[in-house]
Amino acid sequence: MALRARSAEIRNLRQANADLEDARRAALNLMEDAVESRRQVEELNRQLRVTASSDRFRAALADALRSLGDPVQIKAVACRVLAEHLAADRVSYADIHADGEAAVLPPEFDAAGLMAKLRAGRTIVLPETGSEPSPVQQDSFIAVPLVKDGRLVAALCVSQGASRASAPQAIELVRETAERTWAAVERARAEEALRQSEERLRRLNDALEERIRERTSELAGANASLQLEVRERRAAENEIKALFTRLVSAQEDERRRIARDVHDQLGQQMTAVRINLEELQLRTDIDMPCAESVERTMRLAEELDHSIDFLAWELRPAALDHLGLPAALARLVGGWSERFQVRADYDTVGIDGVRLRSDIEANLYRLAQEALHNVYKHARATHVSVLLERRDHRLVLMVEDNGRGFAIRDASPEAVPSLGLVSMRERAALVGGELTIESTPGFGTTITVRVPTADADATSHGQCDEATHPHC
Amino acid sequence: MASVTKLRILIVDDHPLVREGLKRLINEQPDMLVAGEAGDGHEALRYAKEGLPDVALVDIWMPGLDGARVTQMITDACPQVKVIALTRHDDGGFVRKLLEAGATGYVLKQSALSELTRAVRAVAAGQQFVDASIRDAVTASPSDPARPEPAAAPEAALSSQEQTVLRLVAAAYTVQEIATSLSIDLPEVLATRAAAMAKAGLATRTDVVRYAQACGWL
Repeated sequence: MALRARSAEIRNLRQANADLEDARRAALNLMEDAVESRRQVEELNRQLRVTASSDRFRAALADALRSLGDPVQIKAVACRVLAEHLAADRVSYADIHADGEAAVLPPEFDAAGLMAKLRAGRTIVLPETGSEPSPVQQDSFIAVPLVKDGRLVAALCVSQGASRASAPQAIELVRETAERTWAAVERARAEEALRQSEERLRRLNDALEERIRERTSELAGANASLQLEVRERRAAENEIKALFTRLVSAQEDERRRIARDVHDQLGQQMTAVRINLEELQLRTDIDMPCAESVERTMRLAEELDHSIDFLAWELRPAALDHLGLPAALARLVGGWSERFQVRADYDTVGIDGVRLRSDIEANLYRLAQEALHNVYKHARATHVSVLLERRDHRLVLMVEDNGRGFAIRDASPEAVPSLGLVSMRERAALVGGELTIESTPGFGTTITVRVPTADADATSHGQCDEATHPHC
Repeated sequence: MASVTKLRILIVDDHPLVREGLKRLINEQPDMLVAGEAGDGHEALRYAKEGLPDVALVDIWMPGLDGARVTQMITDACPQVKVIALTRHDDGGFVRKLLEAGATGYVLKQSALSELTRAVRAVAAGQQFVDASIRDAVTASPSDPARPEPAAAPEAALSSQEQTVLRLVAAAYTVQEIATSLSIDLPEVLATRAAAMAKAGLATRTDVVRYAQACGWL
């Protein structure tokens, strides 16, 4: 019984022992789990710290670079911030020039070997992980290549005195710093380029504005001198016109005086001569040869008389002063027609009872004379119309023939100097008038002179003004 | 001539030689007597009033008072005195001017004396006398030309465009102006004008003007 009890007791003890063993095992497991968990927590904490540290670094780098505009300074500052962060001995950013040579590579490294790897885009980490520890103290070294558009443009190198394995985070940070530095440098260069091109633009603009100012001032000067020239020329033209007016007026006065002398003096003397000849003819006490001689002299005197009349009329028709332009033109057209045996008609509309200013009358008369002369010389016309109309606030003189005409492009004064169109235009302008020529080959030629009537009227008919018509 | 009363003539001329010659010739005439001479208009008027000649021969172009004024003053003051304008001016305009001023005769100095004596006798007899050499020119006055009668019912034959073109031709518009104002081209103006003138039987622009006046367009 006791044995049985003992064995039962033993069984129980064993059971208890086994249970304890199980419990101990479970507790051990739990402990292991706790340790593992703690390790994991610690690892996570470490990673968090690293991340936080990296974030702080990123922020510090961004802050440091933000205000910088000089590429050299950007590189220097980036290197310094990274060196501080990694507690590195030396950080250098090396530009790789187009020929592939690095400007600043740490001299203690095999530059050629490094360059080959960098050019291949590979990051260099020394000592290499997994390699046997070197018997000599070896620095740790990270070199990150920057490859842009397939070309190695720069490398960021970090040297740390103590040989310690470079954490992947550190390598990543170096890579990131290289990229950011590159970006900052590029931005700075772009900004510099922009600034420079803006500066060039500004200078160009300044230069342009300066040139514009100069040109404007030159133009103003030129304009002023041009205006002066225009004024002088206008004054000269006015002077010429005034001179021409006086000349024409003096010419008409002179012609009037000579015509009057010829007509009056010579004419009267001729009349006296003829009266004497008539007396001789009436005498009965002269012989036949003598009478014949008187007869011949009489004929001569008559011819002389006609010549005197013609000459006086040619110089200046008395009708122009005494009867006015319409009557003078009537006589002119009639005489011209008779002399050149070309049918010529003359008519007036709206002229009756109106006396025109004497200089207008004289100039229109001369213009008609000139136009008829042209018809005779050039037109080969069989009909000529001369028309003087006063209507619609203008006085119109028209000389129209049915002759051969000419292409109007030939009608420029230079092209047809013989037509005397220049002087005709000038004469028309003297009295404020305008001369136009219309011609079509085969359809004759029309010369038209228009004078504004406001200027044209002198006085009404019958109240002839002594000042404008001195010989009325 | 048996007549006891000769025609008493006053000679008004600023030229003494002419006056003397005329005086001698007129006095040769059996029925005429030079009753006085004057060298200018004022003298002439004074003598006309005092001497009351039958006929005054007046040179129309003298210094001071011209012939037309003298004529007017003499005929106003002494209507019974007949005035003959004696001049070298053969223009119809002068003739009309002097006839309007009251002269009843107009004789050219260029004509033979017989023309003058005929004129003296004619005006003394109450007739008007114009020198034979310019008589035609005066009746068919060139500055107031005889208007030819237009062809019968002329307007009816013309299209309205032809009529418009003719009106503008008569109104002294150039072909270019007509083209512009009617908005048609030059050749059309020329063709229309030619057609219209042919229909109306007109040859020149003055024909057109007279035609237009006869039609009452102007």
